[in-house]
Amino acid sequence: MSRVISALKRVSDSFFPVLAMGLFLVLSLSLLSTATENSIQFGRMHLALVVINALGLIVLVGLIGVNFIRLIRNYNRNVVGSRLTARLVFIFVILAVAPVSVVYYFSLGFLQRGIDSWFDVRVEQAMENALELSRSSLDMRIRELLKQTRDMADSLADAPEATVMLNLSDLRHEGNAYELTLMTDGGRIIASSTDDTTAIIPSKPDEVILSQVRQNKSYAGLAPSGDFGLQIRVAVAIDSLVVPTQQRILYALYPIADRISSLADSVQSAYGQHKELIYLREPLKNSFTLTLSLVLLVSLLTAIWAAFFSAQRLVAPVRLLAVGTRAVAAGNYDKKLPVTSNDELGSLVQSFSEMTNKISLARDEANKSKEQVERERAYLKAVLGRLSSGVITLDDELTIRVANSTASQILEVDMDRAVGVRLKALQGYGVHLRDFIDVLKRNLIMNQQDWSEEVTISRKQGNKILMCRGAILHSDENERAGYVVVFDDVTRLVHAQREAAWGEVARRLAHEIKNPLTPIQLSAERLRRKYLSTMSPEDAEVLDRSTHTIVQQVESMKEMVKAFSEYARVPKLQLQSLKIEALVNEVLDLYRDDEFGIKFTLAIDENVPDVEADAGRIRQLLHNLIKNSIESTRKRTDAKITISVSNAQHLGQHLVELRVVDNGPGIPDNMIDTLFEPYTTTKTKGGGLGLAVVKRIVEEHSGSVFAENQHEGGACVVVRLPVSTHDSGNSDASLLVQA
Amino acid sequence: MTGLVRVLCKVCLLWVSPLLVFSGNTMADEFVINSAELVLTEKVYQLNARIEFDFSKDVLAAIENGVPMVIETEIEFLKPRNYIWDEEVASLEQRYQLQYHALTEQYIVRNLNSGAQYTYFSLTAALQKIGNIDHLPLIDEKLLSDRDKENYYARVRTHLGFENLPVPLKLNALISRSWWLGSEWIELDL
Repeated sequence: MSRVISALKRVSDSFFPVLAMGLFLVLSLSLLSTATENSIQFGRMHLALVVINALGLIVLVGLIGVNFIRLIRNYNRNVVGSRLTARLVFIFVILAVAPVSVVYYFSLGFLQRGIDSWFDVRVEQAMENALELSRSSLDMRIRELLKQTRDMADSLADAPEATVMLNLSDLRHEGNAYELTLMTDGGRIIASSTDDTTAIIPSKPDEVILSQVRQNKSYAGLAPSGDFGLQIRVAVAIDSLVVPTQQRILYALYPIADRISSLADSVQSAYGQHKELIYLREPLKNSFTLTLSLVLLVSLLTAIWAAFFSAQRLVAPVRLLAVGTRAVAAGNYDKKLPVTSNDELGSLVQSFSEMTNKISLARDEANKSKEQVERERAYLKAVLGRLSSGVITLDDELTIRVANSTASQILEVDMDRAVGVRLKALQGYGVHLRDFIDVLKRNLIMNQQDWSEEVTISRKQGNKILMCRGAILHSDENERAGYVVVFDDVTRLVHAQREAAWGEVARRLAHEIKNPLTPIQLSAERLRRKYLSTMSPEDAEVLDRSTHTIVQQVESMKEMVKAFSEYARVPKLQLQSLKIEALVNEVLDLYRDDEFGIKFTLAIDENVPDVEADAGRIRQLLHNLIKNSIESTRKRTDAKITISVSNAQHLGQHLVELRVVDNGPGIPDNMIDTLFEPYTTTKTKGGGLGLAVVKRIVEEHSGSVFAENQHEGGACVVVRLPVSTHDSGNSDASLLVQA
Repeated sequence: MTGLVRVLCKVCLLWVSPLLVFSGNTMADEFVINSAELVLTEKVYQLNARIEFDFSKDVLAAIENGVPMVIETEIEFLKPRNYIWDEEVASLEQRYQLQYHALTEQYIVRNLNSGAQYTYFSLTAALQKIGNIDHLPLIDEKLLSDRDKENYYARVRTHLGFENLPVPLKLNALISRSWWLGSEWIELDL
């Protein structure tokens, strides 16, 4: 079944098989119409022709059905072009059906009336009359012949049997009869004479004639003869005087004159045909109607099929275009459309193909330049990423467009997330950015071509000093297109400058002050030794007190100079891998029995890796920190110092973090920036170099140190030291010093 | 307009009814073979039969209106075979044409095989002529192979000749059972 359907589909899609079938149907229809007109040669074919045409119709219906179902299915599936096809088919079918139906309607009417008009009552009457006239004209002749035959019968009445044959022959010649037969009343032939020498058996009268003769003594009437023509049959009873019981019959056949015979014959045949036609009037109408209907159906169905075919052919390029357009809309420019015709639609398809081709080329070009732009962008990003300065670009509306990773590090904000954000809104990313944003806004709004300004960012871990420089970006048309801001973290630089200054001071102090101290001390001692014993007790007391003060103060100054020289000294580090927790324990043991009653807490994480450090310097660092904490908690009775050692990660580097936390008064806000500079102290005692030395030691170890106040009160100093290279692979990572 | 509708209905009927008729394909038993026998006379098989014709009204009307009718009598000699249809050894068709002659008001019976023509005053007489088959020579005994003669059989049937109807009437005849006249096959022993 499916094979039949697919074969039908194939046939319905191609033009020539259906054209051939249509021609065949037209031929068979013309034969059918000839056959319907009762022609002899096609009359026999009539039924076959009807059947052939009916089968042709079924095939056409099948083709149309396949097309129709396909169209409906495509329509429901919203296949491209199906709606247009349906509309075209509808229009074509209407165009075909309407005129054909009108013609059919009127043809049927003409057919009915035409056939009816053949049969006129007057013609029918004339036919009857002609028949009657023929009969009556022949009646005279029949009567004559009856009389003549009676005479013959009389002459034969008493003829002996032996001579009957001769008499018959004579009588036949005399009477111009065709055949004369003498028979018994039972129909047995006694003798016969005929004109036809080939006839063996003479023709015998009908039983009806015989019985009529037996009753009425005679019969005379017309009879058809052979294929055409007429003859007159006469039968007369012979009353024999010799044998009265045995009645005999003389049966004579007379020809009719050719002229009269042919006339009568033509009347008979015309009448017969007319009668037959009248009888066949209805069947004839049906037959013509059937033929007409067949013609109509074949033409109509062929037209409908042609409508499907031509609609599909017409729509094919449109469908192609629609498919192509959809492909282009979906971004597929490589779809090739075949050119199916060389008309305007075909050239439209060709133009469309060329257009998509050009679009495809343009798209490729665009993609290429886009890729290039992307490459350059990536290149720029890489360059920007490797810069040690933070870079931010902003557009005309002060929206951030680009920010490199260094900007994120410096500002301590994920600037990737801030791309596309207005500068004003950047404050939401961190309160510490307020000053930075203010400086940028001010300078950008002032629209200076080039500017630079130092900004200090305040944060919990200390201030950060940024050196910002800005410029206006110009577009190709020399219009303002945006801004670029470059900034560097100069905190360390500033601190280093200060430290260098302090170092210089220290060295000068050590050099300039240390030298005169010893002569001063020696001179004072000499004065005392030489003059104390020689003086009066009052003077001696003054001298004693003064020299004592001098010596003491010089001693104190020596201490101070020693401390300065210690600070200024840059010793060679004895680096080794060491366990910091062991060092902490060792140093802390010295303070455990301290007279101040401070409670020490030690919290050491498990698996803290070794650090690469100089044990002596780290020990000094610990002493300085612990001493600092003890001094700041001296006034408290519940003094508590917590030292913790833990693993830490900062900027991807693995570190060991040492925290010294006390519950003292904490660090005053105005000191938190300069805490690690020399002579920064709240204490009355000491040179103020403890934390400066701590910082120097930490920096010698490539570590970082910062101080912060605890939420619950008290200060916390955090020291981060890089892990030993023997423990981890992060030794070469650079460090960001945060304080 | 109503006439047109009627015609259209008829057209539809013309289309549908042949299918009904063809699906049945049986003839009405209006023709009855009352007796039939084969007689071997001088080594020739001859048929004697008496057939009774009972024409339907439509056919009678057609005859009265001068439409010639052909009555065909088929005789077949067959040899039975297993599983497939029987083999036809010989067949013969006796065809008579019956026509009304208006001028003489008589019925003409024409033997289409021999060309002999007979006229009758009544239809009954004419049909009697057609229905009485006497000594119709069929086949020479020699033509049937001697060896298994008893295996042969003959059959006879008669029916109205459909093919010879006038074309317009044929379509009507197709859809009306009153034109499908004929008898069943009657089997005859040799």
